Amino acid sequence: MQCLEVEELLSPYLDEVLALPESEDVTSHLAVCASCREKYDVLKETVNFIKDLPEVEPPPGFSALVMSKIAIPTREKAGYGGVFMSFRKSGWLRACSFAAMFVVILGITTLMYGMPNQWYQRISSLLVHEQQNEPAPDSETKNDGSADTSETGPKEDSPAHKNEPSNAPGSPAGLPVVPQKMAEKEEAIITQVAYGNIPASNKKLNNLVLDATLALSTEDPSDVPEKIANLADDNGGYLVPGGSQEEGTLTVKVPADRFNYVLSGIREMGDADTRRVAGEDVSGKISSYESNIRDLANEERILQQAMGKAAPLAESEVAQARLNKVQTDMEQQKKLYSKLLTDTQTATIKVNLR
Amino acid sequence: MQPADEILIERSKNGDMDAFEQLVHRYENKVYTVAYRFIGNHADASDLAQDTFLRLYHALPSFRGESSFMTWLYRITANVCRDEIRRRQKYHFVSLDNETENNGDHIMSRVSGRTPSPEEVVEQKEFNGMIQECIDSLNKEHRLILIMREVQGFSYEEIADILKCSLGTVKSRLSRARQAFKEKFNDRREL
Repeated sequence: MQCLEVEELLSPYLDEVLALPESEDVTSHLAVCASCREKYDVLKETVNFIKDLPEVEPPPGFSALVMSKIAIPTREKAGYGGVFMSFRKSGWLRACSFAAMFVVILGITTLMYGMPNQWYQRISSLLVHEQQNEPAPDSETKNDGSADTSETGPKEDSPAHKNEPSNAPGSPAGLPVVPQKMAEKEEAIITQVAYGNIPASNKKLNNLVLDATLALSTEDPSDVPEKIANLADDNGGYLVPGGSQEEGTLTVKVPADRFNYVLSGIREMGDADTRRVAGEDVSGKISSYESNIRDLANEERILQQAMGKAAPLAESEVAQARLNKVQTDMEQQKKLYSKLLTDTQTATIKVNLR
Repeated sequence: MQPADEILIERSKNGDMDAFEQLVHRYENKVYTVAYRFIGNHADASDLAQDTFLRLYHALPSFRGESSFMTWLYRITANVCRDEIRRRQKYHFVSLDNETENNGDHIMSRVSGRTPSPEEVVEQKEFNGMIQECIDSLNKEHRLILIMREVQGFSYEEIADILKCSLGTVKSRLSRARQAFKEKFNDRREL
């Protein structure tokens, strides 16, 4: 066997993965060739340099970080759902998906409304048709004859325009006006949002309530509460007062963005055994509270407008009672909503001292 | 006494987060070391190691114990590193945190028999840093196969299986990687 051939085989020879005849040939060659023998020794030495490299420790709190991330992506996945998740995976897939959706929508729209140049006329005529066929807001009142002024009041302010043609006075000929119902709805939503004191969007909020429970063993647990209190304080949090320190349980509240850092710091105070690291997704609850508050704010506005009009005393009293109930409910919902938002911004860490 | 891997795995499969965290604790050094040796800096190594454990968490229900847990976890780690290569090739990624960080924090525990002098600690730290620099300067395929073999201890068959290539390719690629490493090492030693 020649030196060049042997050099090619030194690496698998080192790992003892050569077939027997080849292996024996290399062994024989190395026994008589000093140059190849030296190359083999150098190769073995340099490979061992890598094998002998020390283990590298991850930064403190690494496992807590992993555990908190496990809680969060799971919730996100559940929140977005299958097909939407797939849109996020690949730019090509996303582009193709949107292109396919556009083609499908274009096709359906063409089937329904004809070719694109006919869409404007078609939609305009539909809008006119909708306005002309829409029942008047007070038609139900007229039908049942009850004439409940407290409910019809706000609607009586503008009864006539419901049956007006699409070309309202003053509007350019041929252009449909925005349906009054839509305008009212938009105005109502804007008013509700402002009145209900709800953020215009909660998309930027982190809708996770983070909490962790861990058992901490230390040689001297007496100074641990002070250390934990200081750590919490340094990170904008606090040790919950009146906790059951005698029973060995401390509760710490910290800003959600300092959760991992504080948790890591507590773990470093002794031998920690993490029992739970979780992030509860409260997006659904937040949406529910926002919806409830908006509905109640809307009802409150309607009742207040109705009470501002002349009405029989008995009906005013009924409206006032209802208004009181709505306002009480709204205050309660706002408190719960506010608490939930606070919870998403504040993480809880419970420490059982041993 | 620490519970066996099998017990922690079964408990983790049943949703016991504490058991899973114990697994993370048990293997975080191994996984992190591979990630660090592959990527060469702590910031990216932490990301890769986290990604490995997240994948482990989601894949755990499919673990049937046909190989050892350690081997299985190392396969996931190698796959994460391999995917990182693909991702960086795809986006021509250039790390802003590319400098090699010397690591000699564990020299004390490695040297058996006596405590090394401060000078020896510094020398060893510098030497380990140079070895890491040599690894970093290899192309990614060579770096990955070298780490899979020398750090993770995979067999040729296992490497072929993970990288989805033939045994012959593993042999030749590993041989070239070792040769390239040896040349980088010699170049640096002569400086």
